[in-house]
Amino acid sequence: MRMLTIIALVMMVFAAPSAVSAQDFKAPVARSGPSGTAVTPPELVHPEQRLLHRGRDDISQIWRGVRMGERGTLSSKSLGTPVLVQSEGQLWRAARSTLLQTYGAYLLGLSALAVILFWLLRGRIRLKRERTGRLIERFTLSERVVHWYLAVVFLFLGVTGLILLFGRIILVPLVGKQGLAVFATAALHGHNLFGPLFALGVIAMLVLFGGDNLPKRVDFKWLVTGAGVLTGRHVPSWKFNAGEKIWFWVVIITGVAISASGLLLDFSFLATDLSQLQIAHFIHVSGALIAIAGAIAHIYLGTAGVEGALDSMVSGKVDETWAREHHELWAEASPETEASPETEAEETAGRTAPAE
Amino acid sequence: MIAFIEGPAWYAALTIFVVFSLWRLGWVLLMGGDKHKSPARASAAAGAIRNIFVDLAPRGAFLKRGKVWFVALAGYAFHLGLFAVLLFAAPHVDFIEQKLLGFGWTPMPYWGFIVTAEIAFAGLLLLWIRRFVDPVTRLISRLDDHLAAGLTFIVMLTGCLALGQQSVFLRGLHMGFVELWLVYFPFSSLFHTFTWPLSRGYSGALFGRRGIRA
Amino acid sequence: MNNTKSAAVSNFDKQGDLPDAERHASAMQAFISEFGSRAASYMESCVRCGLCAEACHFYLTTGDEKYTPIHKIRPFEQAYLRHAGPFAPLYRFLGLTPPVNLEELERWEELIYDSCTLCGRCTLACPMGIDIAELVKEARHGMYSAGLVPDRLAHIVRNAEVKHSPFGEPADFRRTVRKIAKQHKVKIPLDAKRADLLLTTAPGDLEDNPQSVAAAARILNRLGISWTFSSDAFEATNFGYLSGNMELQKELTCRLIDKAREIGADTILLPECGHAYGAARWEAAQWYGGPTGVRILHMIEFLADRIESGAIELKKAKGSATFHDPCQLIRRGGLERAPRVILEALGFDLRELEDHGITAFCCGGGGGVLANARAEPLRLKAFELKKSQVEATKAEHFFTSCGQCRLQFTRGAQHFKWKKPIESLLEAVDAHMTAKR
Repeated sequence: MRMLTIIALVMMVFAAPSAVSAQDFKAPVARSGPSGTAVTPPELVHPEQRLLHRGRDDISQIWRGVRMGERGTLSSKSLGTPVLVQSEGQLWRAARSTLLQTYGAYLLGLSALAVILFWLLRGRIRLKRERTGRLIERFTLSERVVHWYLAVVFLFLGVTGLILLFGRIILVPLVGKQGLAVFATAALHGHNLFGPLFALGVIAMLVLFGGDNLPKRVDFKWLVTGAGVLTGRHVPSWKFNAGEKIWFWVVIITGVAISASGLLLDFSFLATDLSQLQIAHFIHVSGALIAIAGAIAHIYLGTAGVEGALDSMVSGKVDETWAREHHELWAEASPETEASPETEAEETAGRTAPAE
Repeated sequence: MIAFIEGPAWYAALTIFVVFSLWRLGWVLLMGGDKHKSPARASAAAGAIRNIFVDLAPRGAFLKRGKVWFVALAGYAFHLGLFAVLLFAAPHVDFIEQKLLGFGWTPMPYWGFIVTAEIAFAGLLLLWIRRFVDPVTRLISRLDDHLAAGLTFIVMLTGCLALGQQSVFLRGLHMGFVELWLVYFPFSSLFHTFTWPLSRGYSGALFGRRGIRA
Repeated sequence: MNNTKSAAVSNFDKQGDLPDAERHASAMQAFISEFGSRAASYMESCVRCGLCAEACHFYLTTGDEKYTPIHKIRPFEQAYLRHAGPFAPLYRFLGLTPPVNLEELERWEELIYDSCTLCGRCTLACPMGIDIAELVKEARHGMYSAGLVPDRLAHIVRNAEVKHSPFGEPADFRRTVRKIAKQHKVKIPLDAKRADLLLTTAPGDLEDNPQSVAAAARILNRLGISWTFSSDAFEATNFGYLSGNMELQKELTCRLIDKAREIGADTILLPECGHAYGAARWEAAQWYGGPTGVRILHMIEFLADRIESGAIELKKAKGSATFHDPCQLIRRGGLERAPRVILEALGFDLRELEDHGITAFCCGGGGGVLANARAEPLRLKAFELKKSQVEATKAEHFFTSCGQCRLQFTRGAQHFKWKKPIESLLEAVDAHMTAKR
């Protein structure tokens, strides 16, 4: 609890005064987070709204009572002492709209910008040599299925999550408040339902891909030379290069954090104190924003950015040339690889050219 | 709009579903031409019944293959989850009571719904994804198989988005897709819902007639 | 990208000089006439799960998705959807399924003939219970009509048509039988006017395993049964059944039954052959046009029955044995118990293959594949699978009870220089049978 207060206070210093706007206090609490679902039962919202019509004095009086922790009766007693409004919720809400919304938007924008810059500088990374027509298995069927399972669930949760986080800012101007209400309830229920499916996907991902993503000595070289971008020389790697490994562990770490905090939010009756839900929410959204920012880059590199990358995750197979150019050490260790590149020319002469 | 979706459109979709399903089923059954005349070693009927109702798990020899486990588990998860949700979700029970049968039954609790829906979603997603990434299913899948999976997915998804039961729009969206699904159903591979007992029955009869303990 | 692999080799043979349009038309005609409620139910049930591939020895040993069983009948399915299904006009009008063209049929020849042994293992793996083996067999009817059959198979079919049997003319048979009788010192009744039992045989036995013919004769003689071979109805194999030539299938079937009735035999005894059993035991009546009035028994069924009734007594053999279940007898024929009764009576310690009984793997040579020279690489792949399972049992003897399986194993063993003899149950019973009283 104290931690959240500190976070909120620190953030308030940074945030513009307008961040905690009057609107935040007046509007009926959105049912899109712990403040909405768990904090304020409808019976308590309604009298407040009624009072709102009486004028500012009454409001300030109510809020004075709120700040003093005035006691009332609460139909639901699942989360501690009944209070009219859980005052720390305001701090949480402020944290949400500044730290998470503002900096979250920066983070996502930055990631998109980086992708665009990378594209402008490097363009689509194409194969330098001819394809051999010999295919090497890069991803097994289970790996492909798990990857796309997690991808689909992640995309759905990402979109619904962003609607919940930014809906009021982005969607209200487009579809109005009524429209937002539709989007919000749809996103909330879809998000809550798909959450546990994501957790399962993260576990499966860790089991299937974990081994190949353990750091190796060559990874440091890859990192230090900036993937060879600085030296202009290709840096060999095993099945995954250091960049891919970092992305993998980002997925796992944020995935575990998102899943654990998300499950607590999904099954909020497990929480013993409201602050737990507020902290969980903070972790949940921060983790998700980091993961989405990473996913933007990952999706680019896995599709348009690198020739042959998408195919490796669809058919599971890559051309030997692709393997050598992107993952040299892995290619050489593969039992399906031909002994040396020199013999390839003769070999391929009689072969049919691969499709595409 | 919602009045149209829940009124005339619903009855139109239901009619198309019933009429063309009967047409397709009738067509298949009336083709006839079963010409087994050699003396049977054992009962064909018993074999058919066995194959339809009893032998519903993959045979042991095939369980050495991971894909068989995968399809069996994901397949059953999806189908059982779907049927549980279809028949026992509270809004569905209400709907059946009010619009179809005039009586209802005890729906499952909310958490039960969530769990079964998740199981169904996981199953359908996994099966559908495999269609794209397994060379075998990629080769044999028809556009119809993707449409059938996709429509079913959308129907389930819109249903879950409408879970809050706060928005008429979302309810209408779900209903609209249900109607589309019903119209598509009799023309698509979704129709295996009704033909699987036939094909399993015919093969079961062959096993039975020949005394194969399949 | 996967299609390059599947379409790279298009192996096909063509017989006759029909114009393309006629080939196509007769294939379609034959396809369409095959559809009744049963085949239609199969067509209407497939959900494209691909589990049939997990059962097929050709897919499992090559990993090539084009060997997915349901894929092998694609033209047949297209014909159904466009011309026989409940929404055929809709399919044609909207072009939902492309029409079958001759080029497609040519490409599919390899899939329908080379890569399917009609073993039916996929039928057991299919969640919808679709009998793909039966569908492939029906698709072959159309292919045969179009003159799109592997040449070697077509050649054997022609022999069966013209010369009475792929083995040869009745005179050839008489000569061979006399030779066998002399060589093996056994009395072989030939062309008796009356007999209770009509024994039949297969070209493989006459050519490569004459001792098997002698063994059958000896057993029948010892049992004191009134039996005979007939030089104009000796052929048990049915290449009409394997190639899709329905006329021939009918002719060969009726020939056996008519002969049995003519000589007053109540039983036709089939040799150790798989598809002969499928054709005669399960399809004869439909080609004959009604009840045949004749019992049709497979050799192992007959032997097991006589062993259980006590008519055949056996000296105990020593050692361990394993058994290859011929598809047409076991998975498709319901005779799973018979070979095990025989092996037990012989006193062998039976060590089952990892896959045995109804889910045993096919030898790889059934369904006309053995007669198809082109299919050799595929056959050898299937053989290796069986070889490894046999070796894993460490059994001393390797038995089977189908001439085609035996030939397939013998050829495979030659190719891989595998020392294991492939033994026949019939010959083992003959060798261990004690003279009665």
